[in-house]
Amino acid sequence: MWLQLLVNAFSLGSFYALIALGFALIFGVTHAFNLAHGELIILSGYLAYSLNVGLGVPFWGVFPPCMLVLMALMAALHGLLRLVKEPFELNSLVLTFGLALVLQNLMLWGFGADYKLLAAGGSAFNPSWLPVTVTRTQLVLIVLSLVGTAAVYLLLTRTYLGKALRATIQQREAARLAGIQVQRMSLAAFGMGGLLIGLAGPLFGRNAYLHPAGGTEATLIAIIITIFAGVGKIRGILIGGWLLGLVESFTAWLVGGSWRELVSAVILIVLLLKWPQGVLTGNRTRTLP
Amino acid sequence: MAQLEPPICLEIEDLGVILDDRPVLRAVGFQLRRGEIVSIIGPNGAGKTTLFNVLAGRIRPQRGRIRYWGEDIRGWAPHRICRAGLARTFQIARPFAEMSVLENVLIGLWFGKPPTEAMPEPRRQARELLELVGLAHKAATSAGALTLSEQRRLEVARALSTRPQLLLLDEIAAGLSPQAVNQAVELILALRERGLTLLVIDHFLNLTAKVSDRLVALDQGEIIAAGSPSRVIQNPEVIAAYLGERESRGDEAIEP
Amino acid sequence: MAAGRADRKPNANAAVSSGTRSIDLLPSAGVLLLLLGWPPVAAPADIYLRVFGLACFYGALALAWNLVALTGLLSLGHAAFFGMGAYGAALADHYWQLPPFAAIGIGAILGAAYGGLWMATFRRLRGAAFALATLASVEIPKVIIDNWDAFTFGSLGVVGISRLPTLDLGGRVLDFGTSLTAQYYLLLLFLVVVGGFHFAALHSRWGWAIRAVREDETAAAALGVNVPAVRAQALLLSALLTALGGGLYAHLMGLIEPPLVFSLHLSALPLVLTIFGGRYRAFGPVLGALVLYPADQLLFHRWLPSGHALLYGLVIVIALLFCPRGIAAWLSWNRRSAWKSKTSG
Repeated sequence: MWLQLLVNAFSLGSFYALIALGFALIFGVTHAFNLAHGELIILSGYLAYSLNVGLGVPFWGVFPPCMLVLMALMAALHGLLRLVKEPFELNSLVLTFGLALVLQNLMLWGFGADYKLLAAGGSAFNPSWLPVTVTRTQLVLIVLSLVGTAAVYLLLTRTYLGKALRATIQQREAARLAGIQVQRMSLAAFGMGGLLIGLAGPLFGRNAYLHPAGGTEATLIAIIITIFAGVGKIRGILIGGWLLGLVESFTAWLVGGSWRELVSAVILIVLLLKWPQGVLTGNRTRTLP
Repeated sequence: MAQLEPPICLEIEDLGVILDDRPVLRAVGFQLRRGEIVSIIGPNGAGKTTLFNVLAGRIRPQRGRIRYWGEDIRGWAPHRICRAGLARTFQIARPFAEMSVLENVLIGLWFGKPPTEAMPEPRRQARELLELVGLAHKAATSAGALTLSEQRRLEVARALSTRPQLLLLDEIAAGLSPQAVNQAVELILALRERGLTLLVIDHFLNLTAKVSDRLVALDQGEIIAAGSPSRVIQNPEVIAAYLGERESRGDEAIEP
Repeated sequence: MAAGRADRKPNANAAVSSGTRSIDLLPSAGVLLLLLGWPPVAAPADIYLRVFGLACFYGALALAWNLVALTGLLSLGHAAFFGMGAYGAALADHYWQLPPFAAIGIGAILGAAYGGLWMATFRRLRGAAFALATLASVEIPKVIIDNWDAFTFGSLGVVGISRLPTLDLGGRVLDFGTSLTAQYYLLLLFLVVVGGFHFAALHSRWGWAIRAVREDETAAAALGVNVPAVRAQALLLSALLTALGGGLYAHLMGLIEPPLVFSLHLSALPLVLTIFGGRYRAFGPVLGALVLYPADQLLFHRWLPSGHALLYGLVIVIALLFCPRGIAAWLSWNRRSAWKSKTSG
């Protein structure tokens, strides 16, 4: 039973890490607070649903279009955010807050309020050597989330673009002086974020119900893990994801799933209290006049 | 013939402050008597502004005592300290940019130390203070539009508007022309005439010789010399500190 | 000297708020008179009474929210107060059969208590961190109420909340329970009450303390302004008034449920109305309410029966992009960036 819990937590946590990754990357490079992150994931999910259920595209086939569409959307958002003035964090937060409202209502109008789910085909796995059940959905979640995370990790560490991105995350001004085109880095970050969001959408729709207001939860998760992991640390995001997955799976087992949002909210508040300025401005030192 | 010394206005004892795990002030202690003008000097990073921040209540010291007219003010909130009569200026001016210069001063008049006698018309008082620092002609200008040196003068006017007995002036003469420095000196002396006690940070030693009764030299968070201006300035330790030649004290912990 | 910045010359001899008080008073009085006199003159159809009554109501909520914004903090969680006020009133009505206005009072106190909790926990938070924390804090009462079926009826909500009473004031009968006209005037009264506090927060000595805290709380503290107290006063008042609104809402609608009274929409609405109508004028948010809410209900609702609320999201996005300094123009909590834009030159 404990093992089952761990399996659930691992699957959920890996997915949470994927959700957070797009958010963290964008925030790290641009300091843009995307409160519409969850809504965009839901949008990608709806897109996948339309393709899969509406047009009969097989599940694996929905990923490319979703990822590409979201990449384009995020590039557009990047353009929009370039018009935003100081203080950038707060303003981008409010702007994307408005965007989230717009998206929620658009999706409400376009897809209706009833819950939708992407078909979860295939039978579950019951290995004989472990008393656990791994559903196909969980397997898909684990595999794709970890593949996505690994891809990002490789890109950040092995490619020039990745190194430039990391440099920008660490010190924007210094990166600029070193000849790195910070604007291009921002665009790249948004683009990559779009790919990750596009990837997460169909997975979300397969794992949980799609409904217009479901995005806030995903955004909350992304924010929690990003704050926990600190800026620019993939390992931290994975660990944060798994920890959160563990906490939620445990809570779900203990008191049922409807308390999930409260747990997330409390965790977020605790994290914010521990690092009132440090995390959100990217440094941990206490600032003085 | 024994001369009665003026009463002790401020007494600092064994002050210790740690910031970000680094000791910034170590065992700092001195006294200030009413009507004195004492200057704090020292190289960059010596802890001068930190000392002011502690006195004004912005930072809580880990160790030590601060007695203002005999009362322990350690741990008091900044507004409470201000209302007790201890005012300060900021090294980097912090005017209320969207308010007019006059309104900036009115804030101090309204919320500062409660007046002991009936207050005359606040706006008139505010104007008088602005005249004292030479900003009366800019009373209606928005504070954000002032030049840097004008903003420094506004800082002083604002601090004065809170009716202080002890005034902490942080680097009001840094980067000023000799003529402006003289004006600052005159202002400080005029303030003493009004009955204020003054603690002045004077890193560049512009004002010191002309105005201070005593000097306290800080380096790396501790007092390395104190006494009459001429003696302290010529003190070899002090000279070495300014030249950066003193031995580093490192980060040895201080017990809270 | 900041490049190209004209010297502002407010009238130095004018009232406390250097002349802006009169700028505010006149239009506010005008709007008030309009709102008072319009129903008997125009004899509007029921729907208009309802829509404009609620416009006044949401305008009042925006004013209550703005009390906190005036101290330099952006709250995205005021729905928490609204919901607690609504549930406090509804449950007091259900379990104790309290007279409606007493039940509403209970709800208001509950909301204020939650505001006190904010004060205690979020006192060191600013800017984006504060906004996020307040956003998250809505979930706590919402989820608890949603799950505590035995006491709060969970997701079923509370139904059958008593109507507002009928008052007999020396011959004049005001049927707040069923008469739309009476309800309109009650909501207008609510607006006036909240508006009074909001006006004081702009044009009194307390208002100057608030402004000083908003512009630079460190400098304000160094000048004797009791920053924590000022913040607490504004927040508790704001919470109380918002919760009052929640209780009113519960009795007006007769039924409430968690997603309705703790909705993100309620947290966003004051922000939208204030962005749209203007943040530093006494009547600004009200103007926003009187324009946007009817536009939403009467126009947009027809075009987009579901999803019409996207109007509000659009307002935020557009206002932020085309407002010269976005939210910074309002909140200037970060003095250094407000600094940069002024001293560049």
